[in-house]
Amino acid sequence: MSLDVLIVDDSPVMRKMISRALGMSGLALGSVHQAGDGAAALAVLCTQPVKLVFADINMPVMDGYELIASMRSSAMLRAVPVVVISTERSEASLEKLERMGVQGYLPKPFTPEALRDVAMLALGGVS
Amino acid sequence: MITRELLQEVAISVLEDAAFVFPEPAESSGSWPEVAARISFHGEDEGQVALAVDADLAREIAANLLGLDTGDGEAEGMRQAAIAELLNIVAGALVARAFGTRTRTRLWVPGEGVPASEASLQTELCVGASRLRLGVFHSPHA
Repeated sequence: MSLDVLIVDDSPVMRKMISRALGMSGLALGSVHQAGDGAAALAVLCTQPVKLVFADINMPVMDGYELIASMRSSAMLRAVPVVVISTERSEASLEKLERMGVQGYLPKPFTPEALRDVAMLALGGVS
Repeated sequence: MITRELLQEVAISVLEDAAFVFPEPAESSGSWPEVAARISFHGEDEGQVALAVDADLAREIAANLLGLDTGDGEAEGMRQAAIAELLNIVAGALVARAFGTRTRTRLWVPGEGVPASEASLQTELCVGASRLRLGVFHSPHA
């Protein structure tokens, strides 16, 4: 079964880097959707059957924390796994993300192998 | 605490690991290269970090980040965004090394250009004939 994913990052370069790394990861990808901030991501999530979200934290309009909070308060989106890919490394932030039910965290920069591993973990070991 | 040595060490490490370019320390040329980005940080300390790169090196970095040929037009078009993202990664690693992970130092979204004020500290690197320069600015309104 193919994996439809959503990449949320304000940097078009980082979105392409993640998309490229996913293509090299060996995951059975379906559609790769992209959004430049949390609000745009919610619009995609309301219309597309996304199975995994890769989200940055620091973004304009709606940041990663707000996006995850919105997803967790939505009956439709609550169960969609989220992997955070960010430069944010403080213990307080990582604890906050864990409390919010984030399934994985990957610091930038990352390798395709690390991306595959964190995605597999977020999906419960199934690609 | 951010020092010139730490700034240089982190920048070289990120450039090698993320952008596959291998810079060496260089003498200061006294000017900022043309493709420039800045990012604000706030926490234990506050200010801005700037990164400026010669155009040909910025194109090479964009190509390497995106997996493109250096001559690809997309690499040319994405060079500003690539330098902004590279700076974001450098700044994230820099504040984690300088202030640790027990305290939170927040980074904002990167912007274009170098602050108008004088840098508190700066360092310059070269890749072949191309230059890149990094600086830390401690005026939050720079």
